[in-house]
Amino acid sequence: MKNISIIITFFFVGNLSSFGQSSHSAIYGKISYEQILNFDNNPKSDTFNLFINPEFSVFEQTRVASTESATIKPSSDDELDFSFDIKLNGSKYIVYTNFEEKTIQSQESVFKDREHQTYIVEEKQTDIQWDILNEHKMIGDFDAQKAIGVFRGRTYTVWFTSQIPVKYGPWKLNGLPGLILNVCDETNEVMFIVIDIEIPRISTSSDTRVKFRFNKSIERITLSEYLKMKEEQVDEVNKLFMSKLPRGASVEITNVKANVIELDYEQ
Amino acid sequence: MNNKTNITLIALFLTYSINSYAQNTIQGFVSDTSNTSLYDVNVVLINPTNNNIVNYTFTDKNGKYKLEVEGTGLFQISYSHISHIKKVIEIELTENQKSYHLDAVLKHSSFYINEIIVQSEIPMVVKEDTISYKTKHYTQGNEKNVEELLKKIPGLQIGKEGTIKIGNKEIEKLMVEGDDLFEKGYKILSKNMPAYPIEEVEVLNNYSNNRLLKDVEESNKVALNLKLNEKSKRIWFGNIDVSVGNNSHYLHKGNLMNFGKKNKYYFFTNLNNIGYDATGDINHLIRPFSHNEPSSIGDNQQVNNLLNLSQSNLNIRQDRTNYNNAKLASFNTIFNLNEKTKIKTLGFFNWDKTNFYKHTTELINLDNTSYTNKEDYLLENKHDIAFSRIDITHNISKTKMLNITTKYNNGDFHDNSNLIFMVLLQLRA
Repeated sequence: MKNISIIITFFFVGNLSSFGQSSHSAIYGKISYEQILNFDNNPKSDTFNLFINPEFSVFEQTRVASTESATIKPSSDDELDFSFDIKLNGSKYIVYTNFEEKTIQSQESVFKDREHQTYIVEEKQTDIQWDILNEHKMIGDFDAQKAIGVFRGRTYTVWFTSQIPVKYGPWKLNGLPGLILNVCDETNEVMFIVIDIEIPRISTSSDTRVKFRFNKSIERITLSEYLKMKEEQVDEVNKLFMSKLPRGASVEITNVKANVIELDYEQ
Repeated sequence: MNNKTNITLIALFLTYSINSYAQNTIQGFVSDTSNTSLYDVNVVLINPTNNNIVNYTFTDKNGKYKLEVEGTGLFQISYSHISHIKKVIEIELTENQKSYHLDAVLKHSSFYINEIIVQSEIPMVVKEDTISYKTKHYTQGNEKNVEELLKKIPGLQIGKEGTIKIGNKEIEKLMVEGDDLFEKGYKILSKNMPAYPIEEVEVLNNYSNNRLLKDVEESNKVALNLKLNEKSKRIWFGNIDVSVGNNSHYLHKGNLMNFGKKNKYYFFTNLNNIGYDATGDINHLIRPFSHNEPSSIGDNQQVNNLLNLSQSNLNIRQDRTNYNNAKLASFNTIFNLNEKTKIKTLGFFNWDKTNFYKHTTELINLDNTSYTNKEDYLLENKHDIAFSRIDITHNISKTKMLNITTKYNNGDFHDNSNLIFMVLLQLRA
């Protein structure tokens, strides 16, 4: 089993014009979210941490996901319902958004060549067109405002607070004049709920830098390459399944349904 | 000029004039007190009359921003940044000026938050086989009854008649605070109980009717449990239907229920002479468990019937030939004495009088003779049934449960039948 380890490197670049203040880490803060995915009435929840910084944000899974699961159920007399979960085997789901370069890199897992492979998918950050409504509600101690935006095939209703004036949010959602606290999509299949917010004292030395890098040994691919690999996954699983059947058996795939967050890609 | 050029020219003029309608640009530079440019400052344009956010942007690496606004009037621009104090500047946009320049200087401040958000907000919690949905996240407040509230919960499908399904499996029962009176007859509850006292809807997967068999028997049954909020306990609700037809036909129905956290009451009555047999509705109350359920012992024992006169089977629908005058009243209660003990009582009374009349004429033609058979059959059934049942369940421990059931059945049956048979013989010489 491949052992994949991630190295998150933070290093501090010394500042030249020092204010004489302590160079405490200049991470803006850490916000933890609960992600609830509810596909086919089978909800799963996971915790994520969002580290925010003036230049980039890192959205990282806190625990390594459980091992993959596959089930075969008969759905009618001569048809079988085969569903499998692509779970990261030993590596976490991480999304790194770089606002300066307007790019997003995410660590994704694909089933290829009979095993789980991890890739870093590189894509361009698109600006989400948010519609800010004049509805407010309290989330914790914060006054949150409602906004609606469409991103990759889903319409998200989010609550953001301008009391924390940063444009970040969970996963790939950002661009509002305030931190996004809660997210729920129209079909109620994707939800992010904020659990706690920790913003340490910001040091006055504005030059302290923080860096993030994915493990160098993981292959980088583009978004279109990744999408192609995702489509080929069905064939890969089919091949694996066929190899376990006796000679002469044939399998016909009648229906494929992918339970993913991103349904539609811009092109 | 010919017409085509005319139209093109007019179109050009029109588009030009629309574009130049009050599109203002506001730009500027945001810095801190030591004149260092500030990156990623939230610049938000607000309409002060209704506090609506009209437009917003962020400053770039050089501290510069640009906002586009339509219209004129008084606006507010707020500059906020995480390590600086927020500043709000008023700006008036007029007809004459199209581009504006507005700089801001922000004072530094230390900003820190160490906050744990109370998570009563989580709309859905998953715990092993139970998924609980907090209703206030899904409802708009205008749901009249439980059926309308369940329509809003994701994953539940409510059919046209009110059948509740999860995925494509119908629920076994709709419980309230863990108690159920209706089993598959839950529609009486979902269509009548008001929605406002319900705080949580729990979906129970791999449900077992018998608590002790949970995770022991192979089950893919699913059930729903409604949890009430503390405040709304003693609410009575129900419906009454009164219908009168021609020939003094009538149908009166009534349901009255009270589902509190501890005690539950359900009254049901049906009076009709239109042929409807209401005991079918409460069949599940009399014999609650289906026969192939494990551990339903002795429930199907009854006194033997020696003689029973009833109307003969015809090919016409039962309720079209059932000339009855039925009165049915049923009382059901559930008392939760304490956490371990539950008493369920059921009583029903049924008075019915049915009249059946059949006239048969047979015409038989043979070579020399023909004869006619006439039969007049009159049947009158009268019955008085009283039935009651008490179920006491005591949970001794996690693996032991004591269940005592007592049934009392008293029936008075009077059947009267009158048969006249006549033969008319005709001889032909």
